[in-house]
Amino acid sequence: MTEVLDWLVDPYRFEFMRRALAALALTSVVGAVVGAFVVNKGLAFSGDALAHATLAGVAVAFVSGANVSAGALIAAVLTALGIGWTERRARVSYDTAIGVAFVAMFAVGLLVLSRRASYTPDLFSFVFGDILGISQADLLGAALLAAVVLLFVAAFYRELLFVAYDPAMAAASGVPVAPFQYALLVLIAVAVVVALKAIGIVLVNAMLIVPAATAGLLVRRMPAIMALGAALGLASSVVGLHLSFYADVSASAAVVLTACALFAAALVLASRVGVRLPPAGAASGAAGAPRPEPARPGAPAEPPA
Amino acid sequence: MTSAPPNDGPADEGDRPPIGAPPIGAPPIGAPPIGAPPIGAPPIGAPPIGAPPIGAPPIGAPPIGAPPIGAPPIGASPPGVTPPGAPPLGAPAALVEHEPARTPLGAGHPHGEFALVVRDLWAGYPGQAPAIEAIDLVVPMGELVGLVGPNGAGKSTLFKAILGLLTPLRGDALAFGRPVADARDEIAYMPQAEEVDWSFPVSVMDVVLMGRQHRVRPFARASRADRRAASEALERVGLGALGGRQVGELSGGQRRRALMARTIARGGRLLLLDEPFAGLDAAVQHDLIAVLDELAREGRSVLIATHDLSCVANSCDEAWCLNRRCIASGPPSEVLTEEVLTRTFQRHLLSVTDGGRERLAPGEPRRESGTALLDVDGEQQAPRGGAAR
Repeated sequence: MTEVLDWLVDPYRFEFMRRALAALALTSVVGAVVGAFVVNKGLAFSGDALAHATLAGVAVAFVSGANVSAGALIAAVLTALGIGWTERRARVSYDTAIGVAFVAMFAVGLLVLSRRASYTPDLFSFVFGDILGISQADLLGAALLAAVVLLFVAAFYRELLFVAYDPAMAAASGVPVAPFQYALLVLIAVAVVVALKAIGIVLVNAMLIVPAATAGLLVRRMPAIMALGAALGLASSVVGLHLSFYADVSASAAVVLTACALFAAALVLASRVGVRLPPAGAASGAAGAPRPEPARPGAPAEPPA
Repeated sequence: MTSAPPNDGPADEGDRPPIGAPPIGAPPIGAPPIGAPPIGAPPIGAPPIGAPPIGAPPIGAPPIGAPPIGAPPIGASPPGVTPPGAPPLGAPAALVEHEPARTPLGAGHPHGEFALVVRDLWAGYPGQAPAIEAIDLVVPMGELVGLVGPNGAGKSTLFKAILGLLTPLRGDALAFGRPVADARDEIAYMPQAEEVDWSFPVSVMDVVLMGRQHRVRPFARASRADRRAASEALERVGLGALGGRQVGELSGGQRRRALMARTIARGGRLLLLDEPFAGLDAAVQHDLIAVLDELAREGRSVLIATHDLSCVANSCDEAWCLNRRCIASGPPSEVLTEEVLTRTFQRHLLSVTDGGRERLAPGEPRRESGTALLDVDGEQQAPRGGAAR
């Protein structure tokens, strides 16, 4: 018993592991809260674009000696605003606009870096993630951004939900739709930056998509998806860190793969459970005339139209 | 503008119905007696009964079929005091042709007589010809107004332009005498069910509670009053037991009921419903119409865009035929004629009214099958967005 406990606790005798876990915990919570919107609004591609767009900011900041995380934040937020503007104005399709914005920003990053090839090893920590190299300052910055994201979502949850679900009625009700649509994109951008140093540009989108998507297979309400998504993200982080510690593999890859394995498991579980019968007594027919529900297990409930 | 009293007397000046629509609650003064030829009725395509330009004096001599002389002309009432569903306005009950289904708000209601006034509204999408042109339309307090027209006639565009979701090219809309943007708390909008993302992980109750959202309030959660209003609205549409259900699990009819519950829960006095009955079976539609009737009886005003002509014929107080422009408006029995419908839908539809000129006597239950339609020109499709005339 003690061996198991030791095996679990041992890695965290090291401060860099404790910092890694803290960074991943922030990433998991923010990723699930923002990810619940990303997954259900079909914004996965936006998340990927914003992650890649950070390279431009990372590169410029790196070359000019500025704070790299700040550079990433600026690049991501600018791209988010650009995507939002394009969505509202342009005559090209949304995916096309995102695709153009993201390759442009990524290419800017590569262009800048190509002038300073000698520094690439440090830059790899941003591209592929360097979870064990997270500094106290990195952690503090991530915590600050995470607090901003969580505070904003807590304050404007109803508005964000309303605008995401039914923008037409939200606008008709006097909720400013455009600012909240932009806000959601900026939230994604900030969430990407929170996770950036730990997970890296290439895989960071996974922390927005995978835990929230897994939770969406298992529970049916936004708050539940956020909570379960955060828990799943945290579980993936712990498992991934242990794999990395004992098997000496890339931590970010191990975390993401664990999350994906959980997703696959949830997929199997959800398809096994199959169609759920509605609760007894739920009316499905005309008003005041509840139709008897089929009692046979596995019988299809009223199909959604 | 809204305070302009409705004028009485039939008038015939052009195709565009001016703002002074029929008086609320009061039977149109020019209504002929039962069985009489509809002399007092305006010709097809004419504005709603009683509508000389604003500011014009009430037409003096009532036409044949008008109420007895000595009845105060409606137009003479001071603004804001006009409407009253008061039968006492002079029209003998026996002459009622367009009987208001319900009792509208009483006289002296502070907001005047029209819930919604649309003035010369033009709207469209960038790079295209205007989808709607020169729309003048009113929704009187406490009435059900049906907006009919073919696909692409601009019904949804009209709604969006009224609500400011689409910036009008010209013209404006006033709700309760104020610009719509200032009256949003009083207005509830039900978009077409297809515009809503049904796969979103929200419960029916979550959706209905959205109707209670009035403006941005940080950290606000649904209050007890919000929840009560939402539950009551769900009960009214017959979804009382399904509040906890995931919206994606609802059937098509239940989805529309859920959206209607959200519209009701808002508590607005003006409801704009875009195709609330599309794809519903007759029973569900009947239930929802009963709910709308109830709402109107409570004094709320309802504008419904629909393809269902029999619903408008049987249940609405006013009908407006739209095909880019307003083709005709007025009591359904007068508006939903073969000629108007043929012009509206750009294909030959036969209006079949039983007994030729059907007239409803007061107290008589609303007749079924006021107007049934036969499509006698099967293959030809109405051109999308085709010109009205």
